[in-house]
Amino acid sequence: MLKRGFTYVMITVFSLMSVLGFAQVDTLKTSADKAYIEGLYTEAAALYEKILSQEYVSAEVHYNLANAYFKSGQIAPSILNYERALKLAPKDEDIQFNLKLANLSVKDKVEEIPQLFFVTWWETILKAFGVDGWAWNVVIATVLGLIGMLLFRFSSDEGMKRLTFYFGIMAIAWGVFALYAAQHNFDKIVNDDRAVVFASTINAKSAPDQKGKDLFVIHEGLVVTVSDRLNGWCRIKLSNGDVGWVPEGSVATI
Amino acid sequence: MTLRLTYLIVLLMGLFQTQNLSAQKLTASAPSQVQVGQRFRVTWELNAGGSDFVAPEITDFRVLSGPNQSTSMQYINGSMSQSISFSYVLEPIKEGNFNIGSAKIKANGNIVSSNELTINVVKGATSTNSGASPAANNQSSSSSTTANSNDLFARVEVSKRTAYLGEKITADLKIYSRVSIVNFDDWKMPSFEGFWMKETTENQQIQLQNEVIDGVMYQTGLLKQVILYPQKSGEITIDPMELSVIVRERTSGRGRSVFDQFFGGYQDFKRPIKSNAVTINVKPYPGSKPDDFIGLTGNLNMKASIDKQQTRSNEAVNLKITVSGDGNLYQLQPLKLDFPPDIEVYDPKTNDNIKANANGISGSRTFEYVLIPRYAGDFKIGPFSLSYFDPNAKTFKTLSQEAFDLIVEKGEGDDERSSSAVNITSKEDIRLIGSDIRYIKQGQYPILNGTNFFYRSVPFYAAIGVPLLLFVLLLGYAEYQRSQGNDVVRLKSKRATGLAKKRLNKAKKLWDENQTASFYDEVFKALSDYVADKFAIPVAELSKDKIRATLGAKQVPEETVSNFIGVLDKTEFARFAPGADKEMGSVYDEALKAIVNVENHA
Repeated sequence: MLKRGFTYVMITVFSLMSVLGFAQVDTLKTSADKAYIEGLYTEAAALYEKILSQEYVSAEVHYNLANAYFKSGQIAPSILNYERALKLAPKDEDIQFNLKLANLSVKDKVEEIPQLFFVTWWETILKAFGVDGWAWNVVIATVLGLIGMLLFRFSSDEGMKRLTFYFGIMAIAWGVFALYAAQHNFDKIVNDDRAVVFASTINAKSAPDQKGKDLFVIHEGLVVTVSDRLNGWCRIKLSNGDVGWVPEGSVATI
Repeated sequence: MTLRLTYLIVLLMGLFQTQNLSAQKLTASAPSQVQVGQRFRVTWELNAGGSDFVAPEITDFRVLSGPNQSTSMQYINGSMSQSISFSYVLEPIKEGNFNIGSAKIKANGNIVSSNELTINVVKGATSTNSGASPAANNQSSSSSTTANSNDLFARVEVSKRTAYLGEKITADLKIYSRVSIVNFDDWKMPSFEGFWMKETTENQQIQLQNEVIDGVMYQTGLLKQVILYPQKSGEITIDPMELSVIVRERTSGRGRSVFDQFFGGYQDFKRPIKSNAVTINVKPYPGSKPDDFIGLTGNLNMKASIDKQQTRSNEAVNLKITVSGDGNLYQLQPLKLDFPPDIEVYDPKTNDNIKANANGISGSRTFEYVLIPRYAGDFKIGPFSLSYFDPNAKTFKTLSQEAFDLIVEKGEGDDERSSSAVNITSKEDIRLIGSDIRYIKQGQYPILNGTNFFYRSVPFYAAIGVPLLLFVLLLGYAEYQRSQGNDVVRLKSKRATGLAKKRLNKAKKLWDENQTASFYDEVFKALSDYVADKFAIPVAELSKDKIRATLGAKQVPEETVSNFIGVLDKTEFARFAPGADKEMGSVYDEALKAIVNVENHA
């Protein structure tokens, strides 16, 4: 009896804590927005960071935080948070616009390797929906495919049978593709290997060692791809194909 | 009348004489301050040819030589200029202020008098050149220099040691000497790194003056004077100035040639000297800079004017903005002003009236903007504002100018366009005046606890799994139904005989009631249903051929089948045939017999 009562008390306490936790986030959000409106960008950034430090996820919070960083002149964290926001809401125009603007402040202008047109098309198709959009596609395609198969099984009309057969095949193919796209986008988010350069100026070395030869210089805010990590060094790749090693602390993963 | 003429003549003569006097001038020059025992030169110079020079009486000084006369003649552009000078070398005997009276000379028939001089004689140092002891002379022959560092040094003197960013500092590069300087060499100025620098003593000759420091007289020379404006905050060090001074020192008379013994030889030595380094503490601006800060520190004023306030489109309007006052106006960039976007603005023309002297840089810089309004309308030019830092008040000060109204009427070009039959207005792209990031998102937006995707979540798997499960269940049920359906056929065939009997019983009843049509109907149904159910022939496909084929396949003898079909035919026709009521008994018996026969073989 006593044990049971204790359990109830614990449950109540935990649920209260979670409710209080959310209420706290709400007040944090309100005060952060207020600080931004009043032009106290550094304070606003600190408050938004506090929300995100509590394992909360929101494209809007990342976006607002990035704005606050941008306004206080910190380009690298601004770009980092725009990129993170864009990952959560890939089609948000405001995020895209501000990221583009923030990227104008980056010193480095890296020529991108031109991609073949069908690669671009493929990427565009994969980006047509987000992870969850594709997941819903999988669900809908499955349901349609199953209905098609049922109709195929139970109809006695020859024409109807042929129609439902092709319909079912197409639905299944669509479902498999949607599943692939969902997984592709999911990987891009969860296993994102891109990073933003935080050091204001850094020399990329030929080896993960201070003694390595300097290969090229990059500046704050540049987005690079991290392909390897070794002894506190990162192997980075620029979008023009250049590869070099930089200390791990000088970049922040998106 | 005669009196008037006399006046005129006197006046004219007077004019003539003053003209002569101003043209011919006898100038006396000598150092204003000398030490006891230090030889110096007094020179009277006449800027014309002259004769009968009469020197003043010199009683307070020992005359060492003079008068030494020298003349020079110059032809410039065909006209001759001439000068004559007389000089004495004097040696002061005692301390005090002494007067040298004016000298006289006859030039072009006039007597010209010179100015008087006052010379301050101070106490001499013990080891001056002139009063050097024989021992010192001995030393000078062996070593390159007799004088120590106190005799000759350089100093950088700044007006202040702490200043705000951009605040004016004057730095004097001075040399102090008690030896006679012949020339300077290997001059290396301080780099003045961290400062914006302007020299005020460019192209000026170095003039030596006498100055008393701690009771000892030095000859000082201002080598350079620069005005510095610090460009960064923190401790900035002005590194030392380095130079070599060529000094003339007397050498020992002994062991030299006859000339040296007689005149007392002089020799030039090169002495490198280095000044002190000065550290200046530059304070950053207190508080944050205003947006319209122009980067200048000092005391400034702004004046703006526009040449007309009413104009026609495509006609130029001049806007002048003058910034004046004390401050480093050289660093003033053209002001970034916001103009209405429909007004075309050209890069401003800059007019300077800036002077740099020991008091710093002051004057004015004027920016002349040419504005061309492209469209008719009422515009506001401005308001303009700029901020500078006032080091005395230690705050930023803002100068502002209210907006000018500019009324633009349609110009000639525009009239033509509007009078044409088809009014085509030229379309314009929306011009971006500035770019800024978009504003933050406000209001209620979802903040999720942890990364939540629908993909790979339980609902996702459920949304796929449930339809799949339903599908499997449905298929399974259908399969089960089908297997059950086979039993129905068997059941039907089992029941077929009984059903047929029931029908025949009903037919018998109808026979008793003498309802002929219903009777035949019932018998026909009894027969056809029996064969359909018994042999699982769909009713729709029921035909004589089908019955024959099915029953044949079931090994029913040909005779029995023909008999059955015969009865079936008979009932089918009898339903509509007249007089069929008589045959009801036989048909009934035949039908019963046919069923029993088929039953026996099935």
